[in-house]
Amino acid sequence: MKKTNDNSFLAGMRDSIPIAIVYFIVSFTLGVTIAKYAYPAWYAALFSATSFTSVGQATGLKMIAEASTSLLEIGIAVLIVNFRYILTGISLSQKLNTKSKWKRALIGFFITDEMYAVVSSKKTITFEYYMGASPIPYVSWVGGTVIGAVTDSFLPERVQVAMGIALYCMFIGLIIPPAKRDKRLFFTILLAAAVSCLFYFTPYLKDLSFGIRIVISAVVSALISALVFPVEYLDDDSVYVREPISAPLANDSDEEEVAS
Amino acid sequence: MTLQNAIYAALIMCAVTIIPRVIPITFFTHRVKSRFIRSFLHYMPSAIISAMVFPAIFFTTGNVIIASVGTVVALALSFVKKLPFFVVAIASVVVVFALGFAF
Repeated sequence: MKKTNDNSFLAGMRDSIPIAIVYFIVSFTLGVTIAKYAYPAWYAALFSATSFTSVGQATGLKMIAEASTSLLEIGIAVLIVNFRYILTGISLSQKLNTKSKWKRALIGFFITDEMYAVVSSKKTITFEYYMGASPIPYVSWVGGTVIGAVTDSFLPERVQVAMGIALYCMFIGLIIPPAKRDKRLFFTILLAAAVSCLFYFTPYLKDLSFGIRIVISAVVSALISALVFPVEYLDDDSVYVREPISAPLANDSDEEEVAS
Repeated sequence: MTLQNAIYAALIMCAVTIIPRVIPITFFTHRVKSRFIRSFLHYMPSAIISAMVFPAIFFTTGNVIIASVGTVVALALSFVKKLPFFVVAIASVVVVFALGFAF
């Protein structure tokens, strides 16, 4: 009954379809922007196929559009935005059931914030599951960028503007359901939002780059959460004794009955 | 930026995206035993994503009020209605689109 424990290739594919849907919307707007900057559609394909990261690409694209930006500046800015993946990678490394360096590296290439949120509910992650979950969102991401670049002004401006919020609302949809089952996560979510806002609006602090602000906010709030609410677990097989957070997918109703 | 430089930029971005993604997960293979660090990692996904969303989400549509309504809709749909995240995202886009006519 617990779909969350299904670690097969097909389960990965199934769980990735909702991600792919939103990716299409988000990458479409990215493609439209690329076309607005007068780069060809094949560049859109290259741009998304090589990076496959929403926030990093949005940051990079803004800088690419400026004639005066140096390549070094872009490299540094995008690297800083991507610092959070170091935390993500360490976090995921605890759940992988494979020691193979090649397999782990391949999973690493396909780490995204969305996949991280989806798989963070799982106790263990298999190579098969992750490889099942990666291709559809990847194709959707690259395809959406290209289609956005080709169709360009096909969509009215109003629709394009509205689509700008899609990625962030997906993030909300990803973190709220696990928090409903594990109330301690609400504390983390509120704290991280508060710290992030503090960094955004406070003089001097707000001069820090987006990537640095995210990393500091996340580390500070996860540290405080860990101090206030240490998590119980069994030493040997890393199973949480108290309610684990569960998948933020469509199996909510089943889970709720178990919990109550 | 010229197309040629933009291609170089894409390749550089590829490198600086792959490095932080691939290196930690590949070489960090031992299990963390410390309860504190395990707890820290337990809270990390929510912390990262929440920090990315707030306050950035309020500046996504060029109008803070509309974006705030979109945010509330997303929170309400995922909290009260327990809808899957892609439905939450699409519904919020529709609401923001509709509000675009009101302002």
